[in-house]
Amino acid sequence: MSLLDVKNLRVRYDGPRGPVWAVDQLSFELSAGELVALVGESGSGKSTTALALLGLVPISGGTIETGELWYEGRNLLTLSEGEWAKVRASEIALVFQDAASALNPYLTIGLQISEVLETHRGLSRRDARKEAARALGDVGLPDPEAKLANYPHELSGGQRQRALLAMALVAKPRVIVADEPTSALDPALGLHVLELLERERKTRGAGVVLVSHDLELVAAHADRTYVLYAGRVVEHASARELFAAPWHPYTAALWRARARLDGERPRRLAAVPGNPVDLANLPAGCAFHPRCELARERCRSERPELSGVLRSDARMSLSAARRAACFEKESLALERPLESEP
Amino acid sequence: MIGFLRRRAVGLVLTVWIVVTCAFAMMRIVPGGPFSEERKLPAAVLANVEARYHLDWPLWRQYLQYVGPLNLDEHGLFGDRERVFGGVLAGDLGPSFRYRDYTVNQILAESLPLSLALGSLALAWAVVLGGAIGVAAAACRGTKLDLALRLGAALGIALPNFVVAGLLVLVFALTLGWSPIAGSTSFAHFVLPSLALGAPVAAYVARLVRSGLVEALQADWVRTAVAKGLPYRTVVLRHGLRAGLLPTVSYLGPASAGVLTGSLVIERIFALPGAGSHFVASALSRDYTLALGVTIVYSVLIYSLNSLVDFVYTRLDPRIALEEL
Ligand code: SF4
Repeated sequence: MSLLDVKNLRVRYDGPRGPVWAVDQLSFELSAGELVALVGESGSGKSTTALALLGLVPISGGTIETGELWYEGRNLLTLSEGEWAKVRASEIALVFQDAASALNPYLTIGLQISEVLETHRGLSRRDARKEAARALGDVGLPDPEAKLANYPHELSGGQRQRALLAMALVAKPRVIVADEPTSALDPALGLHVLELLERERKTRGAGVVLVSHDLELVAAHADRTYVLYAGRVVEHASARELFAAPWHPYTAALWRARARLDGERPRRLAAVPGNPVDLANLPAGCAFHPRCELARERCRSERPELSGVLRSDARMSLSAARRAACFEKESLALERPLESEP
Repeated sequence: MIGFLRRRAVGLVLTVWIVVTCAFAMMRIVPGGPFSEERKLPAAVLANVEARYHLDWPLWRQYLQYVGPLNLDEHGLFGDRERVFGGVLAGDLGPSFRYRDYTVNQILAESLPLSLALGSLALAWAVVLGGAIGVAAAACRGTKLDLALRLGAALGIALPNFVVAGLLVLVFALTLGWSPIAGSTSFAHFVLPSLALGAPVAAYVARLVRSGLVEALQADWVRTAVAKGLPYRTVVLRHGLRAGLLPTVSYLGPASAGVLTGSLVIERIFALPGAGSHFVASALSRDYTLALGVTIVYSVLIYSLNSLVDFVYTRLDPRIALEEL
């Protein structure tokens, strides 16, 4: 039984250039204690999906056209705003990307953390502050008692990000959605944040949805990965499979961009060749075809379905749940040996 | 805190000095004098009157005498010390040119308290009513209620206050009889005039609070607050309002100075002996000392209220340090 089950999610934003579908036909699931990653460039729909999991699409100006979001036998997308409020932070929590803007600069850290407990756990202000200090200590902030009285601008960037994490974890939610939690941090701090997320799922079985553009980070920490392009899942695989050999040319390009970075210019952002997809002007057929080296005539007119590989091959055996949306996936899949297989 | 007050005290003195100097110069540049408006005085009488008020002195000397550092008196620098007037630095704003039997100090002492009381009441209405309307409109922005409240605010800004005053008198004094029509003998007499005086301020406050709050509610941290599952009321009042109030606070500083010094129109309609009429009348009748006196009062109020605004800012926004202001 999965903890969270997203089915056919479709999110529309009405922009000045007409409607765009930031997320389209997206399905994925998350089990208790599992870390699932959503990977893609900006515009892939991964952050919109994160907002959708918290019911925040309407206040960010979007509309959920279709879809179901099953959690504990309820379709959360049918909840009223008041019912959603009871789920947020208490059952499903979101760690925002940029702590500098996600924390309220006018209020103390202590208040911002303890108000979660006052709202959801009915604690008194004093007990809530005690819990808040404990949560700050848990994420490794030194002198947590004193930090309660600080305003966000009085903390360093790394401390802010951890305070934001503490805020999300304090009510012990069963699902933690983390939107690029490490992108504003230096590598050591980023690793620390991921270790904290790992701890949550190992010690109390929380499910984690990690939203990231960083394939390497994801491969190192996630159990399963969904690669998103133009609002759709283009590849779904276990971390091991993905690490061994991508099926989708886009995933492969993400890997190559990463590999190039490791070489000469390690500080530059990973970039896949070609222009990022323009959601308001989606190419027909496979949305990736303008950037794809393998694109054929068929790719320009027909959209590939997300599906497994039909050929029964020994090396496909661990791929029962593996999926990719590409006409050429079988040749890609067989192209390289699975060298990391034991 | 002490440092802030000290810096502001120095700033106040400098500001008032500059204002006084400029106002003094400007009034003298404008043609005409306090005794040229009324019926023509015979030349000899005019010279006599002007001599009494030192208008025959050179300007620099009149200025020094007005400011008061040299303690000049009627009989010259080393005369017999029978002072007509000690100068602004001695707290003496001089004799009025128009109300011949009164000093400016006396006139202000009689009229200012009433204006300050009326203005404070008007500000209280404006902040409470305007604030509540603004918050309500922002909280349900985009709905019919929001539209109605915004229309009301636009009307409040557009209507001249004599119209508002007239309507209030018509409805509450003449038709319903709930309120006295005019005068200043009881608290009830102040209700209608303060409402009329505060109406446009309330409308502005409502508009500023609404737009400030609507903008503040776009902030990322407000989305965080929603994502934390806080009740909508907490999201708006705790996470939005502080940032949303900042524009209103800036506006209220100078606006309060205007309201506290009274309004000619409102005072006329409700027969209130306030200071507002002096602002207009003194300038028109070239009552040099009274005009300078009200200018000083106004600039002291403006400066102090703006300092208060800065102080309130540091209370609202922890990133602004009082020490740096
Ligand atoms: S379907 Fe065609 S264009 Fe799309 S990724 Fe596969 S090969 Fe490239």
